[in-house]
Amino acid sequence: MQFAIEAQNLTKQYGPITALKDMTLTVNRGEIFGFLGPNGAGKSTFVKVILNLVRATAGSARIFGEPVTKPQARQTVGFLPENMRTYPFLSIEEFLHFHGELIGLAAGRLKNDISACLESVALESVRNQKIGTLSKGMLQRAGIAQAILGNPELLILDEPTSGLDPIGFTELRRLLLDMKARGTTIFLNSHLLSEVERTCDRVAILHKGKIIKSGMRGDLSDRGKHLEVTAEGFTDAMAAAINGISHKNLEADGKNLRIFLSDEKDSVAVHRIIVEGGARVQSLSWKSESLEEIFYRLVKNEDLGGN
Amino acid sequence: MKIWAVTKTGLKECMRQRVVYFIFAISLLFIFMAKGCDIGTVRGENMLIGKEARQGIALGISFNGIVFWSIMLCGLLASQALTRDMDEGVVAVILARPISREAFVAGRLLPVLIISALNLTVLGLLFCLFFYQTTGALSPQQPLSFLFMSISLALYCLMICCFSLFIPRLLAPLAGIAVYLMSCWSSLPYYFENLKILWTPSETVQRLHLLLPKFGDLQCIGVSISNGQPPFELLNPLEVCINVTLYSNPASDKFTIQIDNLKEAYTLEILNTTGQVVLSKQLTNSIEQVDLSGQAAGVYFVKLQSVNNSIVRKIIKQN
Repeated sequence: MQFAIEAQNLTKQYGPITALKDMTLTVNRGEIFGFLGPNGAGKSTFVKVILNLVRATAGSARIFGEPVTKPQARQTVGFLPENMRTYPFLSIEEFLHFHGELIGLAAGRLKNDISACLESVALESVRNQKIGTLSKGMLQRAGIAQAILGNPELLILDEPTSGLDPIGFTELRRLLLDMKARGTTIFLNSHLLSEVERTCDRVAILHKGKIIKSGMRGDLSDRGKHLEVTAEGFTDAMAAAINGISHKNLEADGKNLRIFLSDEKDSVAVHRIIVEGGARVQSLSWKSESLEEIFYRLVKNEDLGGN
Repeated sequence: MKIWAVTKTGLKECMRQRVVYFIFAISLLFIFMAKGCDIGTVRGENMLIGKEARQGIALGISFNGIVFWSIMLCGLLASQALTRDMDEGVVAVILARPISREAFVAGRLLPVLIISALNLTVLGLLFCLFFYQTTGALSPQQPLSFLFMSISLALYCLMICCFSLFIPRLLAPLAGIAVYLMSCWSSLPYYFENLKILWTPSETVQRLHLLLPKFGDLQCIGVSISNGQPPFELLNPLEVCINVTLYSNPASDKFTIQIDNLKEAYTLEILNTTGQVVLSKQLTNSIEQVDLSGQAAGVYFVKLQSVNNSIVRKIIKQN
């Protein structure tokens, strides 16, 4: 199978600093892939290597089977950098026209594509406004329009929600899902974990230049579902009793409890222990570990392990 | 097409810069300044420079003014061509497109070359017009010199771009101009040498002239190669200047006048301090004796006059 992105043993060093360590990653065609990591993890470096903006110290990378060092590998790639900057004297339409020419779009198609892109990001009414006069949110929209110009097969977005208002968030999510439905592969590099969780099919978590976890969005947690209980009057005796049936330690934060059970039927026993102990259950529900929790836990574990 | 897309954007950027128009206006001023000014009589140590030579110097001022300001324009634009894109992060969005780095760099440099060539074309045409008005003639040397100057500026542009990647943006054109002027400067001793005014270049200077890059005066070299003649004969008053030596001075009854490079007939006049001509004769030989035995002791002026030239020297007669 030909992958949209295929990185083999990528290493990138900036002097004594290792930004990527022997990293291997594949992104399937047609999926939305979330790329997460704390600041300095190497996410942007990876994107730069993939786009041949910097050269890898070791290893290789391909886009749709083409080595990234060849310009044609980027023929069907749209890219939105984290801090989109361009020539301030160009109007939005001229900016898109410029990028259309860089892709090699024919003049006839270019005009229609520009209009479609501007419509997608709600900038049609200000198409003649100069880039230098745009607000941060509008500039980000112009950047998104530039990235989706020419219907790219691979869309690489680095913090695409930066500067967008809540309406912009929703519109962007809808746009990405539309593009996915049309077969576009989307590589999403973001700190906004809730957005990644809502839109991505697969996720990789990067830390200190290494992938510490990757997989389908729902399979990332190895802890399974847990029982989340809010109870008033919870005591240590109750905790000891629940620990007896929990397959992992109970996690208590004030009146909020997270209980990891090996069998869902044990939830009845948990409820009984709390109620018979005299506490008042306010809520009780089964929850999966959120992406934010997984991310936080994995990064913390890595840091502790590293220390 | 991709290079052209980058070039078009670069051209828009260049044409938005006020400095382009400012420098063009200054260059224009140089043409009309030279046309309008009477530079008067220029005195060398041993000579006077005639009318044609003065015209040549005026043309030289125009030409060198155009050269200098074209270098400035090219340098300023070239120093910003890549560094601004890199500093402002514009380059990442462009290079993420299917365009090679080489094509991008070429696309960023082309506007500088196009603006420089356009600037030179307009100024060159005006200069040729001015040249024709002044001298009544125009040879292919003048337009050719502008053509070769464009090549010279292309090299200069590349050099500034390279400099600008390693040293601060504003220092790059200054460093470039320094190298450029140095390469021109190495030719200056030869002008002086030919004019025989003050200075004969030392052996070190002559060696430097051979070793230093010559793109600074590529326009002169190019035209010389193409038709075997220097581009501006009138820029070199050497053709109409001669070197005159009087000895012995102070003289008793007779003194000798020696004229190097004698190409035309000269009339010799000896004038006293009141401006009265006390002696007059035609000079046909490069070395001749002049008899002052009938004159009183004192200061006399020796005036040599030809169709193109006029030279005045001073001699003292002793008792």
